Amino acid sequence: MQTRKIIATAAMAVAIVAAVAAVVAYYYRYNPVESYSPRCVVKYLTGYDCPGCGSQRALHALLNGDFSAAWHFNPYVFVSFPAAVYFIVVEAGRRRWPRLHRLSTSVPVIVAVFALTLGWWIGRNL
Amino acid sequence: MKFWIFLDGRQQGPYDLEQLMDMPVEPTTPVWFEGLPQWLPAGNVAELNPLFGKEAPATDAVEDKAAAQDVKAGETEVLVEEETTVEVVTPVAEEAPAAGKYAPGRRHYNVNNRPDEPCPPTYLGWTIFLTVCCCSPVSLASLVASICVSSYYNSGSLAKSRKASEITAWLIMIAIALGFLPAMLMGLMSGE
Repeated sequence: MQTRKIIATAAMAVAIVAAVAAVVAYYYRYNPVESYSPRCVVKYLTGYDCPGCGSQRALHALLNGDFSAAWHFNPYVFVSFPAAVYFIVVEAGRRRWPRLHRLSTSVPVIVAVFALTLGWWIGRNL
Repeated sequence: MKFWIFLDGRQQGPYDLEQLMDMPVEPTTPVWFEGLPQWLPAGNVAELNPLFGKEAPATDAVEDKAAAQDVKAGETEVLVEEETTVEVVTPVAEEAPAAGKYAPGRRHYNVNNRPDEPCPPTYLGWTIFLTVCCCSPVSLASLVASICVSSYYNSGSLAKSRKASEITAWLIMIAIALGFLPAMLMGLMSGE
């Protein structure tokens, strides 16, 4: 039982690392403006930018060391990528650090995330 | 009917009978529910017979049941104490145990309203990640569901919190299905 759990965890870790590496390699190599990349449905349907629009171009610029271009395409990625990684790690360890998890995902924090996202969404379309 | 159990060195619950079916409950695992004078080994609790492949009791008045178990309690108490005194749960520091409410269990276990269980996942990281990939109103809805997870947990209703956590997970999957998959297809169709 214990061995199976360890194998499952290791397999999951390998899969995640491989997926992240593939995505990073892809965006490092290809510019989303010129080559295949997912198109935003919200922008297609409404004509307005969503909070994530420009994140693929920003990621490409970031991976190629062009920080000012990345900021220009989507400054939101500078906050949201690290935040997402932080929250995913804390949540994965919520049994180990129940207190940290409780404080990190407390109501004011999530409300702040909500307000920030909505504010950025509205703000960038004004 | 809700049960609390003592597993992995800590008190957990409340659980339904169905939830307990999926858990490694042994006949010796200490169990408590409202109406019981004290914790009993699960094997001595007639309500939990389905867990061990025995027949469920006819649903009589719970008081009778509790009274019957009170008699048995004399012989079982030693067993329970032997097993668990080493791993007595230290009360959650911020809150005194809810005095009186579950008084009988208080001697050995910290049975109070504040769940001794970590907050269910809010999936906040995934939702933030989703808003960068392709934000839709569904992503915002899953943020609202996350808020419910956290606030139900803090008000002590663990079951509702778990439910909200499940709903959050579903909303995230719906957001991916509605946003990300069509986005991939549209990328393909734009043919560059």
